[in-house]
Amino acid sequence: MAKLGELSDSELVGRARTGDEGAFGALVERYMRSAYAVALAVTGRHEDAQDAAQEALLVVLQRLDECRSPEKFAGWLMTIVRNRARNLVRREVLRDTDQVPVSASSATPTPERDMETVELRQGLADALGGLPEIQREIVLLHDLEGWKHGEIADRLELPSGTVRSHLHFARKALRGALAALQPTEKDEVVR
Amino acid sequence: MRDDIDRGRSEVLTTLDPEQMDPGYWHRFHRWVLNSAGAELVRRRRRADASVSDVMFSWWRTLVPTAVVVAILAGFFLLRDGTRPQQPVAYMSVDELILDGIEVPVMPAFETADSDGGIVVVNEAY
Repeated sequence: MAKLGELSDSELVGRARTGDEGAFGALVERYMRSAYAVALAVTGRHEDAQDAAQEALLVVLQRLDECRSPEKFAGWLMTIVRNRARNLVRREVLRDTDQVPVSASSATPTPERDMETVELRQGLADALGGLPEIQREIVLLHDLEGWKHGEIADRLELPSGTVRSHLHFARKALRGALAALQPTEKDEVVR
Repeated sequence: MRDDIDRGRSEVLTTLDPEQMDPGYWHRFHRWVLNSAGAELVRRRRRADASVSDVMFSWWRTLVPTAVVVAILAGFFLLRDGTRPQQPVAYMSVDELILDGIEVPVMPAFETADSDGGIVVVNEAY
């Protein structure tokens, strides 16, 4: 018997429809990071991205019978995540919390590294914030989640050329923004 | 320089992964979703577990009371009709039954003038 993680989306969706907790858990495991990345591309904030991704995964389970093409589950899920995230932004319920997870301060090995990471995250968030939403989504799915061009094109229902084009422009913009974040040799010496 | 930045970009992007600063984040995320989905999963399991006998039994529960009510109503109307006075039966002979509804041929009417100039109508049945 195949492990749940090896089953196709279609098979897992079929099982999850009958209340199979393992199958639904496998779907969550497979797509929770991508759902978070898509939500982060829309909201730009960790807390809201987390809420949108979690809500979307629960909504997906409730509406699983409406998924007419289980083989396109990922694209369907990402659409729901995107809509949830947009609703969060539209309703202006963004919480006044810092963009860094609350538990972050105790999780890093040293305060120095913690500060460095926080600065990096802030710079990256600013750089990403300057990109159009679709470019943020594509660059996060590709460079953070490791989705391939074809997977992004298929799941977001975009032409492959459009995906490549968005990725190219997003990377170009990030390259410029990140160049400023790269520590120079002089900085290294000072440290 | 450019390659370094490209390589650095992917590394930098990983800082957006909550797990980087919060070990166990995805495990908790996964557990939270599954815990929240518990009631819906149970509902789906119950629905899927409904066997053929369950379906038949659900029919039986509806069908039997309906049939009982219909039988009581039918009995009531039958009994009520039985208490009414019976209408007298009209007996007919076989000839009447055979001829009933058959028109008797009639001779055509003849009009003749009598000696006084009046009109005499002749109409005779066979």
